[in-house]
This record gives sequence, C-alpha cells and structure tokens, in this order.
Amino acid sequence: MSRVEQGFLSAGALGLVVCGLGVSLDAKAMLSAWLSAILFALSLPLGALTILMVHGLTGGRWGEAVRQPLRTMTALLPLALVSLVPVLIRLDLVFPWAGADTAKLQETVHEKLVYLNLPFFLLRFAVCAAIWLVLTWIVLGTTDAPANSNERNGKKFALGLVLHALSVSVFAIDWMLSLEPEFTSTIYALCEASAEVVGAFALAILVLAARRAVEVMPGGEEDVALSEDLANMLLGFLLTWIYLMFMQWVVVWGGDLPDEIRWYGMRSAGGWLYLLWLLIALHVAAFAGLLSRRLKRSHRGLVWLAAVALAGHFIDIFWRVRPPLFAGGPLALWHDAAAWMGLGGLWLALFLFLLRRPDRVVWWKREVAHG
Amino acid sequence: MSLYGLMAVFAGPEALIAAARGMRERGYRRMDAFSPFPMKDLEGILEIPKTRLPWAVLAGGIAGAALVYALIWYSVEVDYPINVGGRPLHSWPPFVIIAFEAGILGAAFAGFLGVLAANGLPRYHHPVFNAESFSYARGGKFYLLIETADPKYRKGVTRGQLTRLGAEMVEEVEA
Amino acid sequence: MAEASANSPAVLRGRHDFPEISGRIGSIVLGGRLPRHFWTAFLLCFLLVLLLLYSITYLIAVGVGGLGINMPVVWGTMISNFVWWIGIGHAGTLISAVLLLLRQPWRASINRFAEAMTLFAVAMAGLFPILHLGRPWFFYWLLPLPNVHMHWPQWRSPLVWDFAAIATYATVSLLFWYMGLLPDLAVLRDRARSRPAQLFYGILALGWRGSAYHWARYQVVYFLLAALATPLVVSVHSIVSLDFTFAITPGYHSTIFPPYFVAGALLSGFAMVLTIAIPLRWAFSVKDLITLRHMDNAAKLMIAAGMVVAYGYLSEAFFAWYSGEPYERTMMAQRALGPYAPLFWIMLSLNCGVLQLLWFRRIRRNMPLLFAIAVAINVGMWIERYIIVVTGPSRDYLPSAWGEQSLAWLDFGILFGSIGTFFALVFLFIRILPAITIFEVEELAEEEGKIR
Repeated sequence: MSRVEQGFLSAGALGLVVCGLGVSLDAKAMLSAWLSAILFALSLPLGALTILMVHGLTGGRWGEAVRQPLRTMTALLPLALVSLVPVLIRLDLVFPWAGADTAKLQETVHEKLVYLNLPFFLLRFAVCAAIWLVLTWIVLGTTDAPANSNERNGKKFALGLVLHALSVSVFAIDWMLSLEPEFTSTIYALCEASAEVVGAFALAILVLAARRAVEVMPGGEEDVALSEDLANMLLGFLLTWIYLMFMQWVVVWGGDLPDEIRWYGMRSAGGWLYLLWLLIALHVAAFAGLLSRRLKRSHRGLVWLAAVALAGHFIDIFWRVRPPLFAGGPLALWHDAAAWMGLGGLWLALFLFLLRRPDRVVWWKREVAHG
Repeated sequence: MSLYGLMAVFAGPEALIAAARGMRERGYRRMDAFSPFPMKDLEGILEIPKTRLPWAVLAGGIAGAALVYALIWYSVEVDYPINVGGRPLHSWPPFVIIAFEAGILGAAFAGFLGVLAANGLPRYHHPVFNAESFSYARGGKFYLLIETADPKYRKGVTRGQLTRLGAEMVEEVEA
Repeated sequence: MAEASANSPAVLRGRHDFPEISGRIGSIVLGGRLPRHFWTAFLLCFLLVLLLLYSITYLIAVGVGGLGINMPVVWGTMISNFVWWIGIGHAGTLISAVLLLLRQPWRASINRFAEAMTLFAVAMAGLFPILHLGRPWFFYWLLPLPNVHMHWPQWRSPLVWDFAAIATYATVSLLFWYMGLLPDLAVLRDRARSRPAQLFYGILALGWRGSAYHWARYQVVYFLLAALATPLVVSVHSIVSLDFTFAITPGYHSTIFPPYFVAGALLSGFAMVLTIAIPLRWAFSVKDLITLRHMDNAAKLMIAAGMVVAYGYLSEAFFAWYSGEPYERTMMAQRALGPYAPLFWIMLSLNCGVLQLLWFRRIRRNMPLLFAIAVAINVGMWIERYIIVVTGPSRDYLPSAWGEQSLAWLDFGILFGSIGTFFALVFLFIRILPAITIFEVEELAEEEGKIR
C-alpha cells in the first residue's frame, strides 16, 4: 500500500466514524446523506460494466485504451453493494412508502404498494445484485486478454446487456424514483443508465490522462489522436444524457400535471436552484469544451474536460436524489460531507490500489495468470 | 492562344503522390492535382491551407438559432402577447426546440453554400476541361497540373521532369 | 470500428479496377438497358401512384370524413403513416451520417440509396400531416408569415415544431445527398455519350473537377454535415413523439416516447433498407459491392434497435400500472384485451417475436428469409404506430365517450398509394442517378488493396 492509499484509507475511516456519530444523532438525516453518496459510488461500476459490454459487442480501438480503468471500476462493485447495507437495514427512514403509516400516502401511491413493499423490494435488490455480480465476474474474466475476439463473446455480452438494462432500470425505479412515489417517468431509468456511462467514461479518461500522455498515445483511429477519439466518445455520451434529461423536462413541462411538475418544482426551489444552475453550467462547459479540437488534443485540456464531466455527473445524482430527503438548513450538509469522506476515502484507496495492481482485479484467476 | 499549364496523367494514386512530391521538391508552387476520390496525402504535399469553413458552419448555426429565437421572442412578448393555457409568454423550453432546428438548418446551409463559394463552384468552364485527356469517364486516372504562371515553369524542362516522374502522358492545356 | 474478423464476410468482395467500378455503376444509369422486370415493377408502382392521386383528390373533395376516423379517435392512419414514413427515413441518415462519423467502411456502397430512401420517405411523410389538416390548402398557416389576421403560429405547439423539424430534415438531407452526389455526377458527365445526358449531368455536377484543393474543403464540410445530421435525426423523431406526449391523453403522455420512437424509427428504417437492398443486389448483380456483410450488419442493428423498442413496450406497460392512475391502467389493459387487441398481439409477435430470429447468423445470411423478416418488421412497425395513435384517445378520461374508429378504403388507398409512390421514386432514382457511390467504392477498393 502506498502512502496516498493509506492517506485515503485513514480519511475514509475517519469519515466513517463521523458517520457513526451522525447515525446516533439523527439516523434519518445521516442515512439520507449516505444514500446519495453511495448511489454515486455505485453508478461508476454500473456504468463501467455497460461500457465494457458494449465495447465487447462493437469492438473498436477506443475501448482497448480505457479498458484497464473501467475494469478497476467494475471490480469495486462489491464494495458499493456492501455499502448499501446500512440503508437496507432502515429503509423505512428513507423511503416514504416504507414508513409505518401508509394511510398518509396519497391514493395513487396506495395503488402501487403491491410493488413498493419491503419484502418485494429486498427480493428485487437481491436479484439485481446477483445479476451484477455475475456480470462483473463474466466481464472481468473475458476482458482480461489484451485483444479478445468478439465473435466468441458477442452473444454473451448481448444477453448480459439485456439483463443489465433490466436490472439497472429496476434499481433506478426502486432506489431513486420511489423516493417520491407519486412521481412517475418512463424515461427515468434511461437517464440514470446514460448518466452512469458518462460518469464512468469521464473517470476512465481522467485516470488514463492523469498517468500517461494520452494525447500522443497511438491507438486512435487513423489520423486521429487517441485523446480526441476518447473525447468524442465522451461528447457522444454526454449529449445522450443531455438529450434524455431535456426530453423528460419538456414532456413534464408540456403535461404540467401536479404529480410530475412537483418533482421539478422541489428541485428548483430555494438553495437547490443554485445547484441546478451549477449542473447546467458544468454541462454547458463540458459540451462547449468538447467541441474544441485544441482542448481535446492537449493533455491539460482533456484532464479538465473529463473532470468537469465527472463533476457534472456527481451534481446530477445529488440533484436528483438529495432534495426530497433533505431537511434543515445548509448546515445539515455536514452529514453529506461525512458520507463523502467516508465512502470516498475507502473507494479511492481501493481504486488506486487495484489500479496499481491490475492482476488483483481478477483475484480468483490469480493462479492461472501466474501459472 | 495562351497556355494555362501542363497536365500530366498518372495511372494510379501512388504515382500521382510521388510525382506531386517530386515536383514540389523541385520548387514548383502553382500546381494542382485532380483525382476521382479524395487523397489525404496530397494536402500535405501541396501545402493546402487548413480550411476555415468550420467557423462558417458554426456562425451559420448560431445565426439561424438566434434569429429564430429572436423572432419568436418578438412575436410572443412584443407583437402579440397572449396567454395560452396559462403558460408564460416566454416559454423557453419549446422555443429552444424550434431554435435548435433553425440552428441546424443555418449551419447546413452555411456549410453547403460555403464549400461551393470557397471552391468557386459552379464553374462550368475551367481550363482543365480543355485537356483532351482530362476525363473521369474511365474512373481512375490521376492528374497533376503545373500552371505556366509558376516561376519555375520552363516548357521543355517541366515536361521532361513530369515524364521522368512517371507520367503516362503530358499534355498542354490551353487557357 | 469493428474489425473484420476471420469468419465475417468482407465489405468488398473480389478484386476490382477503377474503370470497372465506375463502368458497372455508371452503366446502370447510362446504358439504359434495364431488365424487363424492372419496368414491370415500375408499372405496378405507377398504378399505385395513380391510386394515391385519386385517393388524395377524393380526400380533399369529400373531407377527412372519408377516412375511418371518428370521434373520439380523430387521429388515425394519416398520423400513423406519417410516423411510419418519417421513421423509415431515419435509417438512411443513420447509415450515411453516423457510420461516416464512426468511420465504418461498410457504409460506402449503401449510403447513396439509403440517403435517397430518406429523401423519398420524408417526401411521403410530409404529405400526411398536411392531408390530415382537413383544409390542406391552409397549411401555410403553420409558417410565421405576415397575414391579415395579424396572428403568429402557436410556438408552444408540437405541431409547429413538427413543421420546423420536417422542413429542416428534408432540406438538410437534400443538401447532404446532393453534396455526396457531386463527384459521381462528374463521372456520369464524362461518361455520357448523348448530348442531353451530358447537359443534364454536366449542369448538375456544377463543374466539379476533383481538384485536391476542392477535395480538402469538401471532406471537411461533408463530415460536418454528417455531424449535423446525426442530432437532427434524433431531434426530428423526438419532436414527432412530442406530438403525442404533450397531450395528457392516457397512453400518450409518457416521457420515454422520444428515445423509444427514435429506436422504432431505426428498426423500421433498417427493415426498409433490407427490403430495398436485397432485391437491388440481386437484380443488378452487385453482390460483390453490396455484400453479405452489409446485410448482416443491418440485421444486427435491427436487433439492437428492436431490443430498445421492446424495452419501450415493457416500460410503457409497467409504468401504466405503476402510475397508479386508473385511466392509465385501463388504457393499457384495453390495449391488450380491448377492441384493438388482435392488432396489439400481432404487433408484439412481429416486433418482439419474429425479430428474435435475427440472433442466428444462419438466418441473417439467408437472403429470402431475411427479406421476409424485414417485410414482417415493416408491417409490425406500421401496426405499432397505429396502435399508439388510436388506443389512447379511444379510452380517454370519459368512459361514456369511449369509442373506436374503423379503417375505410381511403385509409388503405392512401397508405398503399404512398408505398407505391415511394418505390416508384426509388425506381426513377436508380434509373437516373448512380445508386452506389462510385468515388467511395473506388476509395475503399484502393484502401483495402483490392485494385487489380
């Protein structure tokens, strides 16, 4: 373990201690903050899984370069799943439909309690987690070799993507959409899936660019630097996300139904409006920057673009998940700071460790790899 | 009857590239190559400047979007303000959609008209069409033109150089 | 992106030389000796053109009451035809623009007719909203023109966006197509023997001479146009879907409609590409230029788009229940079990059932079977649009006013008339312009080292 990793680990431990303190003071506030942090941490491995499987289907040189960071991210999936356990224990504190007095819920929410109830929720979560763990195991195992033939794994990845799409959708509905059970949006799961891809890809570029001079690395398509190819992919993913989010907004704006527009009303009231402006500003900056060939070809430019996109993804999840659970003034954000510190410290320590020791990513195959 | 230049015919893309490079090294500046399909290498050899058309496309897009958005804004806020369905007069979400379409239209027109203007097309009479050998009818012939306006141009010398660089045929092109 | 692996067929088969490529493609146009079945098929299409003209005249003379629409379902086949046609157009743009951006070599020999398909499909699509207006001669009211009433279009209405989107799409597709045609028109100009043909192609070629300076700018702008066309395609079909979602009618107001419509457009569009390409490569013996690889890839893209469409079906059904709204739930139950149930289940079995056959390589490479599947998907996607259009309004918020619409002969007259007109235009295009891009195939042959 290097010193940086030790530093992150101790920061994480300290953060966890503060979180424990937070739970003893106000368990509901602490779990709410923890939930939005862990949903961000979980989004990265899920997005990485999507990209790896899509790349396994289509091939292409862009994927070879980012494969290592993506694999490392995917390997952190078990940690993220374990970090959900505190919320799982006290779902009633976070999800309104899981609370004791269902009588207070509005009529349309009553109608869906067949779906939104504790046993079924836990069952669905277990199935999703199982699917992801199996997919992680398969994907990490098959993307091991530097260039594997797509022919053999094509059907496996296609089937994997179908299962992944379904499980991510169920997860997004359960853990994000149902925080406000009266709100429904059919596009929501797609927004979440595309946001995950943006976040994972941005982090992968960041890791790649931080360690090596990616702008002069060969591996792009003909006459194009690898950095530019990757940046263009990021632009594509980002545009997809912007498109999906804008469509949800336009349709909800057009319908103007109380149960739907309230979702936006809450997120643009009070301090959340500043967060919304930040979210928009970050994405405008990332989009405009990604159009410039000079930035895409320069090392610092690429690092900045990826960082802005990643920050945008973080704000996106926080803006979508946090407002309905938030109570109290800005000072209550210390719960969030503690959650970020605890989770982020642990996550980064393990991430950096695995990045340095890629052979540990597929720990179950170590003997084979050495022998 | 003035002479516009010398047109050399080559059988394949490699021969054309080699000849263009050879003539360049011999100091020729005013030359042009003609090929049935784009050849990336020629841009470097002929030192073709990087086109600024992307900026024209960007400007066209911004102009289209801004104009249409301004028109809509003028119509709903100034010329005919009317409450429809309780929506704000300045309903930006739908207006952005129309402005987006107009921006694409403006950018596409700027690109299409821009490339025609920059290339000087349509131009139905050009000296190269006077060359007997200049035709794409048989698909793959590759041509190199040395203009008489080139300071290095010497009729006999240039012809000899082109022939030595592998031209199948060298023809005088009248202006 | 995908490298051609050992057992996937090549993009270009056999060895070629430049005179042969330009000659073979050019002679389809200039030789003028087209097979007899070409003209037989054209005659059939021409009869359908006459049917379209008759139907439109009848519609305008009698009014929209001649169609099967009836209260409360006043959106009928005119709207579903519109969505269907515009969707077919999208695959053409996707092939020519997106595959160019992704530097996929296999686009070269199919992009031209895919773009032509886009243009003709958009031309057909553009007819329907206007015919649906009831008083089609007032369609220009959608434009912000100065008029005696001093009014403006209703900018907040998706129908006005539709107008902007379709007009932009048609124009940009035309520019993109024409720009791609320029070098090939120059080839035809030089090949043409007769004076009228020389004049025709000469004027259209704008004096293109293939200068290296021109090519440099041409390529940059062509690439930019492709980059513009891609978001345009997505926006166009999204706007089409907003026509529905802006209404709060059960079954219409669903946020997934935009991406789901785009995926449906690609599914039906690729089905139409195959429907045209399979007979084309057989009739003109260009099987070495349009190879099995093209067919295989198009089929794979159909599967991908089809899975997204299936996700859309699933999402619609689940959220209709999950919304907890009685009207949404009733609408979905009635869609599956009510008066339109047979159509609904046919649609599901085609778009979600038959499509799955394409998972098997042997089926993807069996041309008669692939053709049959493509036609089935075309039918399935038309039914899907019809189901979406009619089931929502037929089970609205007022149960006492529930009702259905029928299909009159006029509905079919216009639908089949438009299909015939579309194919007639495709035939004319094959007769007049090179259906395969000469210069890109030559470039591809050169790059792949397949020049003799």
